[in-house]
Amino acid sequence: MRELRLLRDPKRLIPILLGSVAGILVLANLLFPQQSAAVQSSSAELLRWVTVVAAFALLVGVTNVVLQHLRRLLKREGQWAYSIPLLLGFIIPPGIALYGYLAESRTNVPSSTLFQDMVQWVYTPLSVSLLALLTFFAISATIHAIGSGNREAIVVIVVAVTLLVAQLPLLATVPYLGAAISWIQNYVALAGLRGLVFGAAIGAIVASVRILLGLDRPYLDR
Amino acid sequence: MSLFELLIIFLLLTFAIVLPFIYARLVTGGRSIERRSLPALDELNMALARAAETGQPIHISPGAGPLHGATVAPESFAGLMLSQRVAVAAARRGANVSASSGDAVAHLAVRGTVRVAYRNAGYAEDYRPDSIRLYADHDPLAFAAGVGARYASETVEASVTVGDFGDTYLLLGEQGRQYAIPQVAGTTNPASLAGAIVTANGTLIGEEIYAAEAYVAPTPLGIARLLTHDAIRWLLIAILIIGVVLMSLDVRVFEPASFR
Repeated sequence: MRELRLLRDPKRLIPILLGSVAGILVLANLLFPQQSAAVQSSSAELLRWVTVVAAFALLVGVTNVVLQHLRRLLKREGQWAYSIPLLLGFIIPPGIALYGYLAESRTNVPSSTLFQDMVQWVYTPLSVSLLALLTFFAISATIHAIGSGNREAIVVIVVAVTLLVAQLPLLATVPYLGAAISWIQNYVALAGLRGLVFGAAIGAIVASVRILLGLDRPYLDR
Repeated sequence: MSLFELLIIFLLLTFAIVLPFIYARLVTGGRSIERRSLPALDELNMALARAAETGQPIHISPGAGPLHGATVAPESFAGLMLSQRVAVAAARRGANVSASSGDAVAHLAVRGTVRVAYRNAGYAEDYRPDSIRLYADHDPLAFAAGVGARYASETVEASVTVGDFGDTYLLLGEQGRQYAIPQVAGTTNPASLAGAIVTANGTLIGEEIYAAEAYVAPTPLGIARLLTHDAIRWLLIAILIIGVVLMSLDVRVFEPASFR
């Protein structure tokens, strides 16, 4: 088995062992909480290390991105204009944090008035506009799916339209309709949903075991 | 934790660890294995063959599900493993690969995967780091907008988007359809699935996203993992039936603590 032969290479074996032991410790703590103080404290310590490592990785990543985009901006490389909003995105939040600290003595950035104004007047409208686009995308996709005769898509569309129409206030007075829809949602749809979740959970368990045993290494860059 | 829960955990872990090796031995021993068909992957195989001729890249994405932080999306692991298999298959055929991710850790993993795939195929010089892009971190909306814009600005042979996409899959899926990009999509999220079925040429539903990698690279251990999925599914069905019968008979010895 090629997967197992690869483990003979120390360059691969050491990171895989580290990853596996860390993963199994955290998993054991999740499955059997408060069963062993040693497992619990090791797991908590590992999670603290992850936070510290992630913070340093973030620092390195942010520095790299800023330097790359500064260089692109200065050299006027292709699509350099996109670097301006990106760099502004790196400058504005720390600026707001500094302003909140100096003007309002707040150490928590999200509670600063300026930050909340930015979220309310810039981020939320942008997100809502993008989400609103989904309506048009849904209509466009529906028209195309019906035109192309995709059977699975047509089933999805028919069910969606039926349920939408059935929930109109006008139809609320139709006898048995509400009860029928509730029955379909609570039994047929929920049964299908649980089947989907069970299947996905089985796949996730097998995939997790493979990663914990080092048979699959999607995290290893070598 | 009740006896019943401990028993289930023990059985699941034992099956998940031991069965792949038993099945792999059976497969290498020459036993013929019937695999259920996944038509969505026929589209992918055809795209891989075309990509080698046209030179246009196959776009892969493990989605925007988190692989770090408080919650981890297992679908992203499935997306990463399928991305790895697609990258290897593409590199061996001399096809190009581009990738988009919506999580910083997944981005690093995809970058490493694609780089190793090119190197192992003997085309290390063809690897282009700028084709592996991180569009957002823990923000499915921004990720979908980024991938949609990529579809608009770059020509790709096909797009394989398998993972967690939140409720905004339609933003990128419909954009891909409008640019006539053959798409293979897979997720376990019902909200994304509806969008995927309507816009993609092939859809992987639920656990199929975990099985897909064994179809792209049918190694004995890959096929064994597929058979393990099926075996565990039967085990769960048996546990469900036993649980229903025991509870109906008011036998509460194995009753999970959370049911009380």
